[in-house]
Amino acid sequence: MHAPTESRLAAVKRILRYLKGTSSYGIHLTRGSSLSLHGFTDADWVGSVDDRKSTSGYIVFLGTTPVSWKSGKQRTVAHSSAEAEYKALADGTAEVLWLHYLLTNLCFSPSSVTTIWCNNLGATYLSANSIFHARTKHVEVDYHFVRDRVAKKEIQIRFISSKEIKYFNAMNVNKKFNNSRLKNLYS
Amino acid sequence: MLSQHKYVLDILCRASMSSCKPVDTPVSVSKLDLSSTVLFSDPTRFRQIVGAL
Repeated sequence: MHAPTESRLAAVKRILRYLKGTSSYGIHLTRGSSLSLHGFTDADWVGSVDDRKSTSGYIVFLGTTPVSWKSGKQRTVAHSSAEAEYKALADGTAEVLWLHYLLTNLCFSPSSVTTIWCNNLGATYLSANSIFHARTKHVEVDYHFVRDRVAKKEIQIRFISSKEIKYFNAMNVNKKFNNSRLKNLYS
Repeated sequence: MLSQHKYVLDILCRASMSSCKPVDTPVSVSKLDLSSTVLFSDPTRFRQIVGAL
């Protein structure tokens, strides 16, 4: 920021052009939407060309309304796509639990067990039981709190195919699209 | 419907880009060239635009 270059300015201008094309987009709030909480998580494995770290993203819906979302680069490099997805799942779980507590405090207990949808089977299995083999040995212990919460039945993790995560991809969270695919997702 | 339409228009107006050509994605697929050392002549303006985002 202290010495911006012309190429950085070009990147900022690109963002502004994107805003111009999407300024009419918004969040659609509907009446009578149910109070069930569900989340989607995703990650792009080794997405950063500079340091090979992955980007995680999550979005949480209350009924049909998106209430919380985030996309951010992970702190450490993931050895496998399942690990990257598992980290995203941990971030999403933390957010979902927080929202669950908040809703409970406001006397709006979510009607059913909160479901988090994850598009990686490996990460889904990891959340269910300890397949503690060589490739997941190094996954930090703090991520395993997901498994704890599943065991306590506070949340459930279910698999969803990438094609079905229309909402999630339409958020343009962390995937690069070609034009036709993008148009298809927004429609 | 909750949107930031007006906010976006204000930013575009401040950046003198109200009539720019829209694009579908926020980042180019090709890598950002970080090796370039050609400095932008008006750093304050750069910070104003980035700060508004």
